[in-house]
Amino acid sequence: MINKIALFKPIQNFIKKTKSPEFYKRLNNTLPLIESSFATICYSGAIWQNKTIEEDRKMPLQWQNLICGSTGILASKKINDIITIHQEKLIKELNNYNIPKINNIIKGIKILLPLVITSFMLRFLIPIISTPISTFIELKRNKGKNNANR
Amino acid sequence: MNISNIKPNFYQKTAKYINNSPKVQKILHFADANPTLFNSSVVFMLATILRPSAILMMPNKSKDGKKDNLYSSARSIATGFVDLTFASIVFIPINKIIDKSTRVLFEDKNSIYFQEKEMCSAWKSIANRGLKILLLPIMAYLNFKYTKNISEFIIKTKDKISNYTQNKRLKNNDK
Repeated sequence: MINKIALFKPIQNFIKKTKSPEFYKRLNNTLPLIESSFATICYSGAIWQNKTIEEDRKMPLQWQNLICGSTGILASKKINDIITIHQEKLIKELNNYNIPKINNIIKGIKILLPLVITSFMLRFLIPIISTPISTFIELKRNKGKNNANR
Repeated sequence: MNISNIKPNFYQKTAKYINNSPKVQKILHFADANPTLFNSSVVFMLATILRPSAILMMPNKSKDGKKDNLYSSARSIATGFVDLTFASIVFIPINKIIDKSTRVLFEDKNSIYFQEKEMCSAWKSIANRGLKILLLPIMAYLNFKYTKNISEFIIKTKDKISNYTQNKRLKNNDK
């Protein structure tokens, strides 16, 4: 089944394009953006559809989702660029040592470093900061609504 | 300090540390051997323990603010569990299937993948990413489906902990 998908003509044509390093680089930059944008849309839809969460608490969750999603979209490329620069410098230094199975260590660094830094920034720091911000935005919005109603 | 101007000494020290620490080398070997499992376990730890406890510890005087903190941490816990479940039930097995099928494609003379390592790895990466994007709506739905239940569980656990500490304090005062 998976082979059939891989052998599907349009898919083969698309994969063929990745031979060009420029296209592959562009694709690698675009796919995470598509992923983040689509995730933000899906989460937003899931919040609206949820029937167990109180209606008045849905908006702060939407703000949190929007803040985390947009930060991910805007900052992920920059974070990746910074990580790549430091990763290369560290790998260059590591090559001076006589570590057994150095290739596996380097591959491990290429997985661990982006994961730890990106996760810390986008899955820890930003969601924590976005929680009080979302409450604050909703408080301001409600105040504005109340003033308009008077 | 600009992050891109870290002194070269820093990389030397880090490389030296990795060279001298068998534990770090073991972790790096594990990350290389099981990238998906490693990824999901780090995210799981972050989402179920670190992030919710940090959010719950944030001071918030208003009732709504407290509720927002509670929902935010409950959602984080739900995300952690949903991600780990999907990784172990869906992503890791399908990853293995894609790996196997790519090996077959590598030998297929009638395809563009024949003896083309780069094409095969491009296909693998795109297939894995595509699968994740396809499953996002289900994952998002499940994330919020259990948010309320988890928030109720957090309240119960918090009450139990505060009752326990209060009882302990009272007992100590009696003594």
